Amino acid sequence: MDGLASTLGFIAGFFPPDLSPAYLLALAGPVLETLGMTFGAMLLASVLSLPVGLYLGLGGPGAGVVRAVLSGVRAIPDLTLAILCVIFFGIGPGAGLTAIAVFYTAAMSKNFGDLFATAPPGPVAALRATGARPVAVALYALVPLKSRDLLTYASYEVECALRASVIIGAVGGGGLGAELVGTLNAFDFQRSTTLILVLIVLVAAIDQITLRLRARPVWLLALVPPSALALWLYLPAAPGLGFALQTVGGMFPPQLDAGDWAALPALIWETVRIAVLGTALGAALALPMGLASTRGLSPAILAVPVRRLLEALRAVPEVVFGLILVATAGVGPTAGILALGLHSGGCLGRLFAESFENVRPGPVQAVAATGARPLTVAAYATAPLALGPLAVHTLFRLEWNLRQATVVGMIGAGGIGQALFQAQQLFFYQKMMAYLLITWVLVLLVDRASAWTRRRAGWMELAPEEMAAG
Amino acid sequence: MTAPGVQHPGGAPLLEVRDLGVQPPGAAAPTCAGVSFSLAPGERVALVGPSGAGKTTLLRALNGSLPALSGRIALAGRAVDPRDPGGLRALRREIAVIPQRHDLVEGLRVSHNVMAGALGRWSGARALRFLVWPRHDELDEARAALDRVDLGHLLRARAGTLSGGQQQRVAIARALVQRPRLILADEPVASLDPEAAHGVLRLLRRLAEEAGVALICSLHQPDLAAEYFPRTLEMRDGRLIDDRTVSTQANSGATNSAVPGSAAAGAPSDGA
Repeated sequence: MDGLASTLGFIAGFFPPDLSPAYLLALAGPVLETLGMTFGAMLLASVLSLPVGLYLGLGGPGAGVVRAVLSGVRAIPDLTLAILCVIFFGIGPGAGLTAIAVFYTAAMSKNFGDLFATAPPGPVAALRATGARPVAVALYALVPLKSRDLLTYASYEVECALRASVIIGAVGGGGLGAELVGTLNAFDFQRSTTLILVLIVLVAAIDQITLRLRARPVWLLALVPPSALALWLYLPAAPGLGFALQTVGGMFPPQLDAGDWAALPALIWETVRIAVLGTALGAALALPMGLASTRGLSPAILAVPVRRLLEALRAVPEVVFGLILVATAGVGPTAGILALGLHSGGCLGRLFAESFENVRPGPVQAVAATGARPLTVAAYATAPLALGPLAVHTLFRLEWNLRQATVVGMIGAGGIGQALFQAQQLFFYQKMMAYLLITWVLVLLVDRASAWTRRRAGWMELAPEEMAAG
Repeated sequence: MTAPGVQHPGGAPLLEVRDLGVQPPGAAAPTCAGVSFSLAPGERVALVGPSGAGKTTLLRALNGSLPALSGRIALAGRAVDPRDPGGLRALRREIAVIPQRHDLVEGLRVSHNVMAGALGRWSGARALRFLVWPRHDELDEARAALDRVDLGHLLRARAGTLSGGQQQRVAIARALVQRPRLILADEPVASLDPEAAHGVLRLLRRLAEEAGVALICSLHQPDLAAEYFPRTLEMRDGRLIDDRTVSTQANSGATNSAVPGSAAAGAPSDGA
């Protein structure tokens, strides 16, 4: 009872949000900083990843090695990259921008490469047959054939990058995230709520804009000039690089003492537990909410509010839930499980609803034609038909959450991430590097295991937004 | 106009269609217009005509999947109104559909697909219980229905592992479990070789006769219609242009009530 009362007391402390004009006006700065970080980084990432993607798509010499390196970089959680960038370049949007640019260059290069590899072979072969050089093949066949896919995919990535740039603020990357951490540390919870609302509105706005952009992807190019301006403003100066190299030198060789090694299995187990339980919680939340928001199955009076709730859960990244839960419920794995569960519930809820909506209509109509009730039709046709996609989405989310479990750890939600963050805070850089490498190997192993499972089960189709990073 | 040998006391028709017009969503014009006919209990009718003649539209309107734009449909004297969900379900319990593409739920066992035919009369709780915990008598009913299409041994198989022909026979078994008064079969032999087509039509004829169920079966081939069905409705461009009853089944040429092809609204030639 006491626990419940104090929890409710904490929640009440977040209301009402501070919506005073003065504070909202003061937020313009952090909002612009977050947007600038996102778009500057994405411009840089797009420019860098197009040639790399083409190289991979054309299968140039050493493409396999490049692909492996990119997978390796992509497996470094974005928050870890941000911590490294904050160490190298100091607190501020420059560090955040660099971290996002590095992460998304790796991610987009690899996926651009995959897109180019699936270009229709006919036109490409025809152009090659004329004796054209690879550059010409790229410019006259691959890019035109795939330009629409490229822009669509990039628009998904912009959305993901916006969320990433908010959370990167939490470890010193500037923008809205830095502001959020500030309010939580100052117990100024009503302003924390304001920031979360701003975040939800911002994500919803970007969502709407990219939705329209996907109908006419060329308009994405209109974002280039402001992005270039942001890039010019925030990109860390060259002197930072010299210092960065020096700092990297100080991280080698990575080292853990005997006590750390002894504690390592427990830390890894805790991270895995956070991911598994967080995914299970997310799926358990998503199943009823997904059913309740399925078009054609659930009445609009129920479906519309549930869909709004799912959107709100999706708009708040795991790390933001984690920051709030760590600030209110305390440091530890429970905060991590709840944080992953709430965000996963939002993501899986929508994907589950889509899976239910996308089942083949024939069998559903055939069962409905026997005079069965709507709930019975759902149980005998819709649900069994959607079981495969549901399993794919949940498995993919588990993979994603194993990565995120290390990330939420870095803001105090337990596991190996927390150990990593503590080492960074205490300037034990060799120890930090050791944890970073262990985390990286873990994520790579999970990636491999998941890809293998999906290949075995024939579950290869993923929605573009899943391909884009979750 | 009833087929020889079909008894129906008082001559009350099972199905009555009057001046029916149907426009499927997305269609520019009605794909079925001015259709009138009636059907006696236990009567077997072939519905023939080229692709796009409106056969599928008519069948879908009959089980309430498509709303009527004009005219009326009545089953055993009750008017069909797809806008009333309870009434629609009551109607659909009486009419079994064998879809052209069989439309089984691949992930479920054959037993569950067959017993899906019973969902209209089962309570929601029983339906959910049967999914996880089927009782012996229920499985016996499923096996009995499957035995009638010679697939009793596949009770436990997953529907997705069956061949196309087996899936079709499971869909037929599902229709039998429904214990309907009318079966609508949409192009059951469209993708079959001639030998298999004869097999399926013989099976449908035998099952309908044994159960005393009326059957409307859409077909492309007029010769098959004449061979297996005492009565043939012919559609073209959304209209019923011919309604003929053959005096004996072996005699495929003679008709005793042929309406010449015409564009007149409706082709009324029935016993009502």
